[in-house]
Amino acid sequence: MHKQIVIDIKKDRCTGCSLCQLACSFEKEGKFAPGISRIELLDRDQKGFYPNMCRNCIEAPCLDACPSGAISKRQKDGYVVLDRDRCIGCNMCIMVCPFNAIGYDKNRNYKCDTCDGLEKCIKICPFGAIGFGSAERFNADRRRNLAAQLTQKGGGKDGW
Amino acid sequence: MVVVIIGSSIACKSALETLLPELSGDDRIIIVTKDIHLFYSRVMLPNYIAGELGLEEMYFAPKDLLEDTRVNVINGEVKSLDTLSREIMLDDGNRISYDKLLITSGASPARMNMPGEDLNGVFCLRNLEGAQAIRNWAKKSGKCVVLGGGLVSLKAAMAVKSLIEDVSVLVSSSKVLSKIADKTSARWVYDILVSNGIDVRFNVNIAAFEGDGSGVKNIVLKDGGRIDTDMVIIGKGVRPNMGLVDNTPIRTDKGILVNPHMQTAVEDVYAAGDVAQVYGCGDEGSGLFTLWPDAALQGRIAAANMLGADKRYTGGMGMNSAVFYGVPFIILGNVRERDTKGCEVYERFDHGRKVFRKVAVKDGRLTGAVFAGDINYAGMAYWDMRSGRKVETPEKYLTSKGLNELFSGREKF
Repeated sequence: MHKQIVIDIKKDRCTGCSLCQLACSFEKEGKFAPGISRIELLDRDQKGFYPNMCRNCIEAPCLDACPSGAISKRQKDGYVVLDRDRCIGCNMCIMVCPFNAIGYDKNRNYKCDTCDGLEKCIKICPFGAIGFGSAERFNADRRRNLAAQLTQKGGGKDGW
Repeated sequence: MVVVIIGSSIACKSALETLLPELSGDDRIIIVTKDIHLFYSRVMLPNYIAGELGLEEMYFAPKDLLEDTRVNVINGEVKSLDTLSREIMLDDGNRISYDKLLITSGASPARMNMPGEDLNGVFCLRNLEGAQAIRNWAKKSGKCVVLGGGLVSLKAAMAVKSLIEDVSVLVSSSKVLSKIADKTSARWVYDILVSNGIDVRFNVNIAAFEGDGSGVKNIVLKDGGRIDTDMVIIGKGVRPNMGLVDNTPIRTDKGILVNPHMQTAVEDVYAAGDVAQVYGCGDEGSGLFTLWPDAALQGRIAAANMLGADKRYTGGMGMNSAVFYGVPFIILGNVRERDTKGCEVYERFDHGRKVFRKVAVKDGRLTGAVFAGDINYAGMAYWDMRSGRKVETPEKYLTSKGLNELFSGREKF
């Protein structure tokens, strides 16, 4: 069993500069076109931005929904990937993705594959708003941050 | 332990994937199937007819799954079960005993029971052999008639249209997708089909098929009219293959009844996929959902429970996704006028972009949604529906901007 890779998005660090989207679309499609990037930049209504992308779900609904066998967990790191050569563009994965992380273009679906480990979006982000890591590290980080937050603010609305 | 799985489609595959890593000692898995080709995807049959995919591209599972030495594949049809002696009986008279049994025997096309239904050139689209026959026949035909206005019929019509110029769809009701869609989205689909040259006719009732030794020639209508054609594809829904559990204590209704563990009324006998009748996740009672994602999940849950885990199925949901000439269409839950009585219904038709969205809300919870032309965030609506999340501003589901706001507003990262 490989370790579970999780996506760590730090919303307070994102400035909405779109560099991740440009790096993503250039790597995957060969053009600077945020619209076909694997990352969607969400405007949180005056509260800042954050990059929305595949969260690599542990029980990924898209994996079950795919009728062509195009979606699978990658052997080397357990990341959920979509093989466009096998995709028939039926949109079943879009229908069940809770994060709207899968797109549709030219009769095929597409999603993030971490640039096969190159992680172009992470490398280009000047603010460290996107991170990939193991589930253990991610949870430890979140606990630590939450503890810091609670001790500073005496309990916040965002705490869980 | 000997696990016998009947059937070889997605529910079988996901069960196999769950079972294999957990087997110990001399545990074995026997797959009994009447399919010659294992693990091909029925969803891709229209792509095969259209020639977009070759035979070797029709498989959704890697072949090495079956190369495991603990897996045996037996070709044959299961005739009956003996749940007391724990055996299955095959059509060739052989018996196979099991410790745990998973029935994923799927469904077969519903027959119309009309004269001439067995003529050459009259097809159903359900299996690979059928798709091969349709493709070969269509290559030498000039005209095709598709019966039925369901998704399978429409997909078949679009696939055949890429081979034949003259394709008609005859629908017995007054709209396409009459079992799942509301009037506006049915009209939206109809417009796309017609503008791409498919002739769709409503309120047409068939009486018989006429032809000779070379194949079908005419369709006779109930009103006495005749439509000449070279081939017919019947798409009138499917019926579960559950004859094998006749004369056993296994309970059936529309399909084989199962509990949330996917277990039938008999211990150690499980059912999953199109043959299983499961509860819906809402208050719609139990039924057949016959969906690919559900079958995958059910197979996995049945297998996990065979291994002693306590995994529960959270209920099926009517949903579907289709692409009509490049335009995406997703329907979730119940959206027909007759199903949305007592619901608040919100609709928005963007005529410029040809985008239609609709949501139905009951007691503050989503019960149905249509995403036609733009399927952004359909998955979010799907999970809202499944989880029964309270919906405060339903009108936000009707625009891309609203959906965007809804999604980013609830993110807690």
